[in-house]
Amino acid sequence: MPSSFNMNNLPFSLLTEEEQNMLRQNLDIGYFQKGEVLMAAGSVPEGVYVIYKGLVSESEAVDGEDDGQEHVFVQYQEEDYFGGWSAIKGKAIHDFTAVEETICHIIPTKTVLDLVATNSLFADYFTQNLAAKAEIMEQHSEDQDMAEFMLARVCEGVIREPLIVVEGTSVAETTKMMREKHVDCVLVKRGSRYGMVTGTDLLDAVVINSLPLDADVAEIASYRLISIDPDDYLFNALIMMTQQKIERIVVIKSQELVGIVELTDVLSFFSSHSHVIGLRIERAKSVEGLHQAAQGLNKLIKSLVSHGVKTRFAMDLLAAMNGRIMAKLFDLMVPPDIQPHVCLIVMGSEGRGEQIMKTDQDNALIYRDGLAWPEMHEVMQRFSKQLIEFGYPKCPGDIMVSNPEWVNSLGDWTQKLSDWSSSWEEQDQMNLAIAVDAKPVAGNPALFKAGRNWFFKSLKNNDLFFSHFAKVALDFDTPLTFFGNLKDKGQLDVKKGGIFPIVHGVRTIALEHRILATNTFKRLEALAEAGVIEERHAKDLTEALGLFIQLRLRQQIKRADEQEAGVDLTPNTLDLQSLNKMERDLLRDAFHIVKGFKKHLELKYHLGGR
Amino acid sequence: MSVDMLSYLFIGGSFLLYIGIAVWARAGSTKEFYVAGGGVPPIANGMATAADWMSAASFISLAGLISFIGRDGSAYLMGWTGGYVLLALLLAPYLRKFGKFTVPDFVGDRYYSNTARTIAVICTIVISFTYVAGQMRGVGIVFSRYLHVDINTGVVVGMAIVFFYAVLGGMKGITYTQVAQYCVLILAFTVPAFFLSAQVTGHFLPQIGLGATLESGQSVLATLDQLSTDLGFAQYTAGKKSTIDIFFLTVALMCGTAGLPHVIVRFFTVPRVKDARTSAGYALIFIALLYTAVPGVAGFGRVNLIQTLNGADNAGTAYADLGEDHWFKNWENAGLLAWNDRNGDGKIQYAAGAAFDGKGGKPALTEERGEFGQRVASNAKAGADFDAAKQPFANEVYVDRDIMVLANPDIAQLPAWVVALVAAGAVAAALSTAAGLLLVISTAISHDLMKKTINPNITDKQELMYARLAAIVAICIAGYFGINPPGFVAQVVALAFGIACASVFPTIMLGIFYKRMNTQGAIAGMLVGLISTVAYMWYFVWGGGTADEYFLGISPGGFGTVGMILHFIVAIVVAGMTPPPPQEIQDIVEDLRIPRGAGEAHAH
Repeated sequence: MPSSFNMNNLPFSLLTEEEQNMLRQNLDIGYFQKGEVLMAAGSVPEGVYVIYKGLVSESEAVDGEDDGQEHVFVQYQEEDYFGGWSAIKGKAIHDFTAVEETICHIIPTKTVLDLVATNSLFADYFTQNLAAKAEIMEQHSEDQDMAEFMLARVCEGVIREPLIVVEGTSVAETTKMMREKHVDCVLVKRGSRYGMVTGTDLLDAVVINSLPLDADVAEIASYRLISIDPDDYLFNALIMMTQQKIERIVVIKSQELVGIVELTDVLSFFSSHSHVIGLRIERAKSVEGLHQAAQGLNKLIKSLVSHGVKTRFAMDLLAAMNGRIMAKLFDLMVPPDIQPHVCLIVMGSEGRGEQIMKTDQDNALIYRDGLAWPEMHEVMQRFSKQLIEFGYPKCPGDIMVSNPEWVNSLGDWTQKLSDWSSSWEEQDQMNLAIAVDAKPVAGNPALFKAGRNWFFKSLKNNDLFFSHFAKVALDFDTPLTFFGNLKDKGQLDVKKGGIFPIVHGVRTIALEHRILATNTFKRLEALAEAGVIEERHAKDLTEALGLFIQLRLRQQIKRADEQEAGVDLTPNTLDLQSLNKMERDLLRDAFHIVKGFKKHLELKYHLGGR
Repeated sequence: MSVDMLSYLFIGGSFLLYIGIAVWARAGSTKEFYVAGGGVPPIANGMATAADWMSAASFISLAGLISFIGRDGSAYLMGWTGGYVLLALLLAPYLRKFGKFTVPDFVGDRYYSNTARTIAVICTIVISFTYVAGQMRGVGIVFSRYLHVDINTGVVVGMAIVFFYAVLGGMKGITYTQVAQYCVLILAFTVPAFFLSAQVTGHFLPQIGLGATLESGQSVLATLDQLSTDLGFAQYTAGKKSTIDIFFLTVALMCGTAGLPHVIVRFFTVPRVKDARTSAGYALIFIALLYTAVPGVAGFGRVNLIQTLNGADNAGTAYADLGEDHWFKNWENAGLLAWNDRNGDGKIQYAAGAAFDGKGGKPALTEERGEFGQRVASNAKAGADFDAAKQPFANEVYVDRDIMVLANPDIAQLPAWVVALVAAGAVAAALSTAAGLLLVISTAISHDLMKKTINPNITDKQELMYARLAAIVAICIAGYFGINPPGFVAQVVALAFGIACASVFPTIMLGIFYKRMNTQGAIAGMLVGLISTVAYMWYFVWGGGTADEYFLGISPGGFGTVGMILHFIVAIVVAGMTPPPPQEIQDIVEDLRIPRGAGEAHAH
């Protein structure tokens, strides 16, 4: 039918020719006068509208007022589409009104749903856009609650009421009660403290340790409970479980017991495979077994992203997973009697926990001064090689343990840090920036901490160092025009323009204020808490960085899928054409935040006029 | 093309060059992360330092000063060059190691006291104000000459340009802009110097030319001596000031240099300590290039001035014969030259003595024009009394010393482009230093005073606002002093050095080399040094004090040294009577000079 419909625009360009034909055949066309309502909130929508000509606003009547006052969320112009959310939900959520005389193509709801069902790429794109869109509406809503709507909090439904027994209850009685209540764990109240006993604990107590059935259950409980606040994200609960290798955590709000969160509940919530992978990592008895477990990671990330999980939390999870893989491999390869005398650290984006795909290995080894371990370099070579086989690419700058430069005694390590910090050569500055983000993953973390604390102290009050260190954050232009719009060249480098300035600037400030966290988001939180950065600014930066990473990731995955080798050749490029108007607006706002932050750095570190 | 057009072209062109470089050097997105070798090479940094260093005082005023006061002017040459060496070798490496950007920050940290920091801020502000006032006068002189306006209007134009350049442009900073400024400046100074030297002596290099013999068989200096004495002036090569005064002035200039905030900063922007040393070496060469040419320019300029004004027959030049665009008339319009036809012969005669009754022989020019079209001063000396035994006629001319370098090419009738080049150079010299100083003042007020001392909670925006506000106020005050200068540019600048020498220098020295030095001693010392020096200067520059009342015959410029001695004594005595600084501070001071290796961390 209408040949005027442009199939070259996303997401329609994702359709096969056959599907495009199907779409064309079902396409309707509508004409609307200025002020006419295309779709009213609450009504059943005809389908997805694609504007051919004109302007449409999406708005919501302001609560409790009937005088026609409206809160406009966004305006759509030529080639924008809207109504997808409403079409899928079967009910329009807002009013859509023609601001000008408008001609639209209408894709009937049934056709949209058919296409979503048959074409997964189309569905992905479609639903992701919806997710982004819904998030924006959330942000524009009146309470301005930035709640990550996609992400449940602990209190939202997965807390179980715990079975509590008092001290003195016998093992037999406890088991009976657990059976009755169909639970696998019980909290024992001893004085004012709670301890946890699981079914396995009971079994071990009776069968292995041969405790009598009337023994006090309080004796076998574990009192070192891992707890979480009910307002914390459920995702953090999952991360805690993954890190601590446990299956339940206790929910505590201001020292009051609220309930228990079970791993199975969390997992069913996310329907992801993270813990399964985690279990496989732990169970791996050999390098081969570990290899298989590592394979699952990429899949996990993809599924998390397509489920709309905030990139930031996906990164946290991935960092925990990668850490565990490396720690396990380290365990398998380094003799146990050596382990207390060495410490494996990961650095750079891995140390910050900000890599999304498996990125380059950036790791180093610190060993106790005077350690005699002749095979050290040979083992480290094998270690790096093994990681490459696992799919962690070689670091192009050779910053990994196979390079003896990055295997140092504690004394040499601190000497290196000190040399780098006083040299100001670009290479040294870069090494330092990488090393500052270090995090211990295996071996004895005390070695790493000693080095870090010494370094913190040596830099105290050295304004010159910080000024110089901060400078590279200003090396790249923010891609905004003089008038504050996006420099529209179709593509931009989001790392240079947005991610790097934030990450490096925050790194510098965190280093100056001796913040222990290495993750940029956590650093921002800690800096806001310490009053170094204003709460509002920290939040803005967090949002901006989150957006950059999320947009980048989406395009990375898309490009990797399109490439035959599955590798994304231009990982930091953002293609503006494939963003919709709203995303472009958000991107622009985010760059403005970056610009403001750079100004702040300039002022704080005397980088202005000199 | 006329001289004016060329001058506009050169000044405008050099501006475009600076702006162009600034834009080019701005952050770009085509660069890569951490490109190796992206640093500034030491030679460029040396040029940048030299541009920062050489202010309007060096460029415009120094040669003029020497030209008129002769040998005594060498104190400025020795003091400034020596001060640079002192700073580069003695202070900069340690300050760099201490890791502080500004002198107040150093003082605040070393003496663990906000009071000490605040006093250091005040010292910095006083020094920079005095210094920038001198620059503003220099800028005013240039603009008044080339825009054909009065010096006061020239200063106002200069204020506006400096404001835009320094505060809004944000161009200062960029090393390559500074390099360009240095190139313009050094060309502008040496090219006319070559011409002059060749013209007067036949030798191309002014450094050699000064020692050459003229056609008459006499050396340049002997000719100068003769010319001077013939006209009743003192011998050019004779010293008029007492040795102690010269010595103290030299020391004040030297030590004051070390306390000058905007130069210290330059040493911190080079990546490596080794580079810092190399670029300091280069800077010294680049500075010497100009400074060694100064005595030559001063001498030739003087010879030319006398010979041109008094004519070949040594009887004067008829004012009526001067062309419309003659340099004499141009400078007269600017108010920096004046003629009082005391013997009524219509001829300009130049000799010893004052032609006007103002302080230092200054004319109070009115809007009226005299018989020949010359500007009339309300305080012109009547009659033509003179000592016939010493000079052939009464002096009828007032010459502002600061015009010497600018007027030299005019007087020597060098090509128009040389004249224009000098104008561009003078603007570059004044701008580069003024911009640096304004930055220091505004950071001192917004960052050191507001943010670190008074209210740590101000936002970035407020800090920026205070910085701009401070810059505006600084420019206005500097403008006022530019219009009502307490002396010639070089002299005003010398006062700034004197204050720095008495207030900041000892505190820094003691802070680095005497670990027993504590807050109380530093505060007492700074206050004594600052107050005694400023009071002495105030009394003699504005308070009506006369030269007979000088303490030990020391002029205000040299009193900084006395203030410095007082500062040292007071600081050490007070520190001796009060408790020593905390061990932590003493350790830091120790570490400054004796590097302590890293690698002491231990795992527990």
